[in-house]
Amino acid sequence: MGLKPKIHANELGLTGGVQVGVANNAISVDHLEYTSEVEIEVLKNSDTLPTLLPGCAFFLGIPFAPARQMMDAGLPVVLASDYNPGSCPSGSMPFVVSLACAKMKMLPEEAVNAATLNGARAMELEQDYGTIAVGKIANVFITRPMMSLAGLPYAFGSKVVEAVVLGGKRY
Amino acid sequence: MSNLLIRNIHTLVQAETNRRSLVKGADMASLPVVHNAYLLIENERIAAFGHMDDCPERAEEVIDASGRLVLPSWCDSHTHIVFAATREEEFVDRIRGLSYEEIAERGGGILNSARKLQVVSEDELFEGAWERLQEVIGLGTGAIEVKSGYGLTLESELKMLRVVRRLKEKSPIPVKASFLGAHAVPTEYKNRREAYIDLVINEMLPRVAAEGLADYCDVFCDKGFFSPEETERILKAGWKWA
Repeated sequence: MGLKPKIHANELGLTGGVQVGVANNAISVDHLEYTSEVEIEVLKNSDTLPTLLPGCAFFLGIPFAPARQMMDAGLPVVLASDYNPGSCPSGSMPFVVSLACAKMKMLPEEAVNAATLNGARAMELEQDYGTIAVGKIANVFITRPMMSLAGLPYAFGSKVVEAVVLGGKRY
Repeated sequence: MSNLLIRNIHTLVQAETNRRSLVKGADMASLPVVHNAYLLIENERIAAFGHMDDCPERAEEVIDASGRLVLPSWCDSHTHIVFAATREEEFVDRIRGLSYEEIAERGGGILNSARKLQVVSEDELFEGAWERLQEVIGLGTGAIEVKSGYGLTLESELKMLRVVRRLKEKSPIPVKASFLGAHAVPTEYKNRREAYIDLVINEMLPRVAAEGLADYCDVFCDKGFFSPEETERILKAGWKWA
């Protein structure tokens, strides 16, 4: 056991970050705005997770990562916020999910999987978090009234989360 | 035992009977849901869920979620919420036409954040990060990863990671820490980047590991930052520390 790699890769170009992450058994390679078929092929033969940060692509005006091609190739996709003062000064996961749907052509179901269970896996927390399953920690949220799941990414920028329950207690 | 019942849920989303640990490819389009559902929580864990026909009659606390969806909290695996100051001025520079890389080359970007962080106390950093954590919890985040990387000196990297440790101790949601000493090459190492990489490997990593301050080792592998070869040296060094 050591400090497992979890790295920033391919944000600014096809620079070999994905390859070096996979070669060193990274738990995830994050960003991937610049991803070609070569990187997708490398990821297919690994357990390293591609983590996409569409809030950064939005705020910097750089290309969005090719989530659709990754999923079509059979890869898992993780979504995260990249909340930071320079390239993404927002930590809003509802906005990330909206961007994933509107700009990366992820279905609402795909975006929710990427931002819950797959996100938990990218932090090695999937045993206790990331889905609603008997025995897991009860961290859940309640939305405002809506007709369907698509209502969540659809209402981008709106306050869609009405109440939060953490460990079974209202927050 | 304390319990909480959420009833009349329009759709309970990502509710699984057969546990998955990861979803890939075409399976990502399937999301297990229960319509007209209840969710029962006992102590801090999920005790049961299902259709309203099978809903328990009473509980200590009841929430009516009519017309609403219930989802598992977001798991945000990549953030940098420990920082000293915003960089609004760079945002305006970009609006005027400068690229992120051009701003970085002028000493802006990560190096700007590092200069600001070096003169801010651990307590002040914690307060700022704590506020951001509260903010994202209110937006539905229920697990989070937080990186260092605005320190870029031994002392400041440790300061950031101690702030992350305080977040872990106080936070109602799980927090994972990543050591990102190799986020950028500091200005004073501009012409001797090897020396900075040596500092990361020989001084920062051992201290971070000895104090148990990180779960993961991160590197900004990209043009203008760290090459794949440099990244590999740092990652291999990270693997050596328990």
